[in-house]
Amino acid sequence: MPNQFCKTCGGSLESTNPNAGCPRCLLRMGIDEPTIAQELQRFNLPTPEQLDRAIPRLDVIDLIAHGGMGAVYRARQPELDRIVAVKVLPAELSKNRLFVERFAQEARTLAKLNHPHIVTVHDSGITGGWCYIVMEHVDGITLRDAISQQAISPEQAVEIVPELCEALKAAHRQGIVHRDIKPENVLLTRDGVAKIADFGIAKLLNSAIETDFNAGTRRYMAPEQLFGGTDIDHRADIYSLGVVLYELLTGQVPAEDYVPPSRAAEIDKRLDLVVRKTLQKRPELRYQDVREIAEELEQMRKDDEMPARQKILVQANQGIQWKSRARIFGLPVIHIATGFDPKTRKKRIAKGWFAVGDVAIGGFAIGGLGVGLIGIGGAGMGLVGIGGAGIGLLLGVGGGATGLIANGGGAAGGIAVGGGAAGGIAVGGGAAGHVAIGGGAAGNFVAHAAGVSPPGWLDNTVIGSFVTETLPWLFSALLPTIYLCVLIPVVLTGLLALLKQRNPKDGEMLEGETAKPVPLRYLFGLGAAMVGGCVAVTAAGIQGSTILNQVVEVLKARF
Amino acid sequence: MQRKSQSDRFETTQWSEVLLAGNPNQLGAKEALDRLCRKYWFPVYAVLRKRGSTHTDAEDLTQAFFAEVLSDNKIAVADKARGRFRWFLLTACNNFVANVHRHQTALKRGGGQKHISINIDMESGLQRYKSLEDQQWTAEQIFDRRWALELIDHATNRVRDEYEARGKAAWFEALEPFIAPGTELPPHNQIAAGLNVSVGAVKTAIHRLRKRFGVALQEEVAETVHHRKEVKDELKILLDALTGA
Repeated sequence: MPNQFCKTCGGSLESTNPNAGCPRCLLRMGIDEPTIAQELQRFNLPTPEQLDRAIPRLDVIDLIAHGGMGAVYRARQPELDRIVAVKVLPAELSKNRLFVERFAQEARTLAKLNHPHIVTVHDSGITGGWCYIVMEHVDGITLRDAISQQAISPEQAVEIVPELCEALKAAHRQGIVHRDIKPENVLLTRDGVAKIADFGIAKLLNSAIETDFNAGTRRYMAPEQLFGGTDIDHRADIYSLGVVLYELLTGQVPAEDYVPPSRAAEIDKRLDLVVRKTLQKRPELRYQDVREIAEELEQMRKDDEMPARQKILVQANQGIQWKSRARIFGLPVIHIATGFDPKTRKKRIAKGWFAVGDVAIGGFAIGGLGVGLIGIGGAGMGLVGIGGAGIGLLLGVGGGATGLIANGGGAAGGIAVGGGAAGGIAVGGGAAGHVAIGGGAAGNFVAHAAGVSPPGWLDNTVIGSFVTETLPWLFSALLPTIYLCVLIPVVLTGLLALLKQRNPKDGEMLEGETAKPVPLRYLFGLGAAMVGGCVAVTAAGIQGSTILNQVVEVLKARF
Repeated sequence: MQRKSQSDRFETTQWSEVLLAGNPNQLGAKEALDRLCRKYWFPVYAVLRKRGSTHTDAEDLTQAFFAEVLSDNKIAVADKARGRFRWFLLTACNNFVANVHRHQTALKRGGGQKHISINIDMESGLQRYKSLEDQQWTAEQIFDRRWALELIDHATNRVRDEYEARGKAAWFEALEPFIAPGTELPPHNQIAAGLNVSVGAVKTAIHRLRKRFGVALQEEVAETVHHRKEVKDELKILLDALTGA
């Protein structure tokens, strides 16, 4: 037999639903609970009726929400026949003259904010002892409500954030910092449009309250805000936005050592980087502008929309990546990188003392495009450049080679050796240079293969003098000048840039890490270049001894 | 400033709009009244049963009673009730019951058809009236006691709906007994385990639920009084009714 009497008040329980408890005690809840009117009074806020009397131009309908920071009422503007919201601040604030001045100033600033994603301010004033703001009435719920109903999917979160970025962009551009971005201050209309409310309120209230208490909600506040800094700029909003984003994605506010969203829930890994950058403790490490966040998300969306063919290409060509732990002067000893990084969808670049890849940059670089002290590749560039196109400051070897010493099918350089060679000292089938040795050689000091003399018509004609005098000068003087003035700076700059680059910590993004689109299959070029280079070197070698003798002869004749 | 003369406009409720207008044709008046009648039919039914009607008769009579209340001429009477719907209904109910014999005859003769049927489902009346406890009270006391219980019921539903709308139906289920416990309850840590949260979270949630319930009660009462100031008085009267003072 169930207990017939309430253990709290002793009354009989017979007549009630056993689940419901004691009706007397239940009724007492209603009696003990302060009424709304009492609550409003406690915070020095008006009842709807009082406010209605205080603002003649408005018909105040009812109370929407109230808290320690003020109350919001629904009202109607009869002349314009529209519904508005009225935010009222506690009466004691308006007693402070300084606050009232600041309030008026703030309202004027806020009125300048006119944006589809910001709750518009229509009017403001002081009446009956209360400071009030008349603003757009948003028919919807707060982001806080949406989150507790778990109504926001990660996809939707990624769509809301750019809207917030736009709003913040408009505000920051006018030098206005919100300082209190949190889900309670973001409204969602029935159509799902996001609107930010309460701009500037935090700062205003903060200035009024002389204690250390910060009006912004702690969990969403940037570290510089929390520690009471005076140097708070728009980047504090970016931090708060990051907290909101994290909460939208994972359902929880990030802790001191937060778990990356992709591990806490089923979230795209690319968002980890965005979240990390917004949540940097130091403002200078965050995104410096909300636009960057929006662009980042836009880029992700674009990547997702990449045509299928291209996506397959990227996915099929994921290549390999290996970086040695050991580093010298911060640069990895060995770095091998080919293909596309599936996460960032960008081409991989190998950077290291010994670098191998589609694009390789380093001390000894081998790749489709190799740039380095020794660059080898389809296009090899460097102090020593070897490749299909070999360009070297010192030594260029390749199908098309150019360098101080150039050796190749078509070689141009200080000392050029090749099928077609042009240079200070040119040796080749067709050689032109200051000292030219070859089958068809033209220059100041010419040596021909045995049995071959230059055509007679070259001797006393314009063409003849061009070929025998001007051309050699070009190759002996101009080319070296080009090397000095163009190639050396270019290659040195490249080397300097290489040495200046910090090494990326895992997951950290660096500027300029993307390669401009380079056609694929450079590895084929690398192979062909190496073969070609070998052949050229061999040919030169075979020639070598003969040439050497001839060079010596010529020099002997000269000096 | 003419519209400002109704200084009590913002603390009035829908019920009071009916009164203030004094015009039964006022937009929404009928609906407001209809809504309230649907909420509080049981006390009327209980009184009729106490006075000796059978369940079936009481059903018909209740229908007839409300039809009459909703008809034009009764609303003028409401003014005398000083704005409390409960009081108004009680008075009307007493009058009705005094003439119940006449009404009953009228029904039997088929006079009931011309009344507006408000179509309340009163099946549950039979079950709920079974309690013997009502026998020791007078009709008026029964009316008030039942009214109080209906009120609590409505407030509970209101809060339950809110929790469901926020996706917290499970919380409400688990914590409802804690609002004003009459008997022994399971310990907090058991509830916490069931909901997969901390004991602290349970305690906070209980506190919030109780506050919310208190406010819900006030809101329900506010619907039936003229002025928000009267809410606590009304609750005290109902509490007295339940304690048998």
